[in-house]
Amino acid sequence: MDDARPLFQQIAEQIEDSIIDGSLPEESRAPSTNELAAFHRINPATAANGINQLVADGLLYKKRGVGMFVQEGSREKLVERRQEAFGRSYITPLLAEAKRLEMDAEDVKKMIDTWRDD
Amino acid sequence: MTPAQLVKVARIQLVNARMVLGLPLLVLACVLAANIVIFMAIQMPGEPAITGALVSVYIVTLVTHIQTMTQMFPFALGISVTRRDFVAAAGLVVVGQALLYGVIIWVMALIEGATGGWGLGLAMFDLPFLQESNVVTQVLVYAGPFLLLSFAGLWAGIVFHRWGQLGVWVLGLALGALLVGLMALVGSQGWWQQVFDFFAETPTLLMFAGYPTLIAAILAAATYATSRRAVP
Amino acid sequence: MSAVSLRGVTKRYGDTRAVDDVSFDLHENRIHGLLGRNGAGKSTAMRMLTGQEVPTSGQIRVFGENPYENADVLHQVCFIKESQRYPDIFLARHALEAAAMVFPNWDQGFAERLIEEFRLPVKQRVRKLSRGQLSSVGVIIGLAARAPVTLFDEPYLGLDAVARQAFYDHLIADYAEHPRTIVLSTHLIDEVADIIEDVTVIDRGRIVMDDSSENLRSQAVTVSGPTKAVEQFSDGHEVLHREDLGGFTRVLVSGVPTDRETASLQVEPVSLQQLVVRTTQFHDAALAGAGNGNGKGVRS
Repeated sequence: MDDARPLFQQIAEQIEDSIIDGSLPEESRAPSTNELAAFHRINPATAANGINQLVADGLLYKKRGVGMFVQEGSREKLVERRQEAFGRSYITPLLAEAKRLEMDAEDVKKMIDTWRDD
Repeated sequence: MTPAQLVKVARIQLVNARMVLGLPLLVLACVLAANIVIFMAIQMPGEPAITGALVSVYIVTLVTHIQTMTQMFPFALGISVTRRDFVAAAGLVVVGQALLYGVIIWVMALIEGATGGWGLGLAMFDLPFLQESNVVTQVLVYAGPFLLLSFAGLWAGIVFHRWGQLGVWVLGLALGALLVGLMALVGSQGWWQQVFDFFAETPTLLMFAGYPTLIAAILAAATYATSRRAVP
Repeated sequence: MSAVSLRGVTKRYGDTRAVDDVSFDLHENRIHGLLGRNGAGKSTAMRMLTGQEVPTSGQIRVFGENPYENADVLHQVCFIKESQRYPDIFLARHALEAAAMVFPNWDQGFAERLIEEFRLPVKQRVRKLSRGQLSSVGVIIGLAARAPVTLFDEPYLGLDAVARQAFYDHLIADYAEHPRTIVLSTHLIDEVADIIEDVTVIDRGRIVMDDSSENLRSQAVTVSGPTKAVEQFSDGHEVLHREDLGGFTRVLVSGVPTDRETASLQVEPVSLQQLVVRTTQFHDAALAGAGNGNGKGVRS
């Protein structure tokens, strides 16, 4: 773990990634705090923060005495959220730079088609 | 400090009991064997022979208790034992050990008597100036010097641990100066006769068990006081 | 809640103040990093809070009580230090047996698993153990004692990377099952950065940093770019370290809001180790400055 964001966010994001790519299907058991701590070699409290964030976001829920499970519909929710984020972090700067280079959205679309064909 | 806690800390000091209690006895056995061999070689027929070799076990015990404070004490503090508990437990160990050794020496004296001085007329345990008429006082007479020397070892050990060799030298010189001073006083006042009388007339029990126990108690207090600010 | 608190604690040896008016808390059931250079006062602080030394002034409380000669408190405290010596007459197992008698939460099964893992020859005389094996005796005692307050002062001398990793793994797993207050004092900051929740840095006997590692990590960044832009960015913030090359500047700043404009600048995260090293150097420089009659630190 070595990027600037807080560790617990990185943990939460990794679990989100697993939900999106299907390796952690809905209604399956998510890794426990202790498992995460042991796997990533981090403080269990940090791992718990990551889990708590996912619970607060409605992506995980707790089954008493069994553990944390992936909420139904959370994959769809995540994909939607990530698409929005994708727009913000890639498309917005893409269009800004395109504008500076005197290209409009149509030009960019054409360019994408050309590049895809390569 | 509960008795249970005291026993627990004593058990820590005896965690390697075979070494702590066994080493002085092993030395004693070796010294006895060596004496038997020597007296077999040089024995004059018909002459009773007295050896002072018994003193070796007392000296070894003193040395092991120096190490109680220089080695066991810092370790015990390192595993969260308090100084008070440690010194009290060391006292318990010392008293138990002195009585145990007292009994062992008494048994050895019996064997010595029964075997006619190990078949050689050799007196190593049943020494004339230590003889008592009953078992209890006899054991106490053997145990008293153990108490004295063990506590002396404990105090010397903690002094060494706190102030190093310099501390022990200063302590030794101070005690030496005190002794010389006392001797000068006795000499100048012409009290030598009284001193000799004191040693000659004091009953064995008081001489070898009573006074040593008193001095041991003072040394125990000194050990505790010195340990209060000792750092492991 | 704090398991341990120090208030205005000073320890003087002659003219030197090994610990100088220090106040900090160890929060219950958290893992703390007590960091700093050699001779900074970490070990002295730990010796005082385990009752092994008495402070010259100030107040120390462990579970609300003074730890000095306090058996009830001390049995809940396990202090593992690199310099621990064992009696010459001990076999390795004697040290473990003695510890088992003292610590009420001792787990013998756990101790035996650790002995196996660290390959400790328990029947060997302590004097014959290698430096690493001696360290593993301490590590095993520290873990298996499960003391509510456990301090590890540089416990790894001579331990290889594999053994150190085994130590961290067991520490995390056992802490997760049996939460307790743990202090790790070490120079290997990178190795423990993700394990410690709270960071206290001591330098020249004084606290120079005391915060959660999450906070510290999020507040400090390395910024590089054109000198002007960098200076603008770091304006009003503490610059712990600065390097210049031509018109190009790199600074380590703390206390910067993350949403600040960074168009022409490169902003990178700072490792805990970097942050600790730079903070310590910063304070050393400030102290040296004060000594020269120039009281100002390097604030931009």
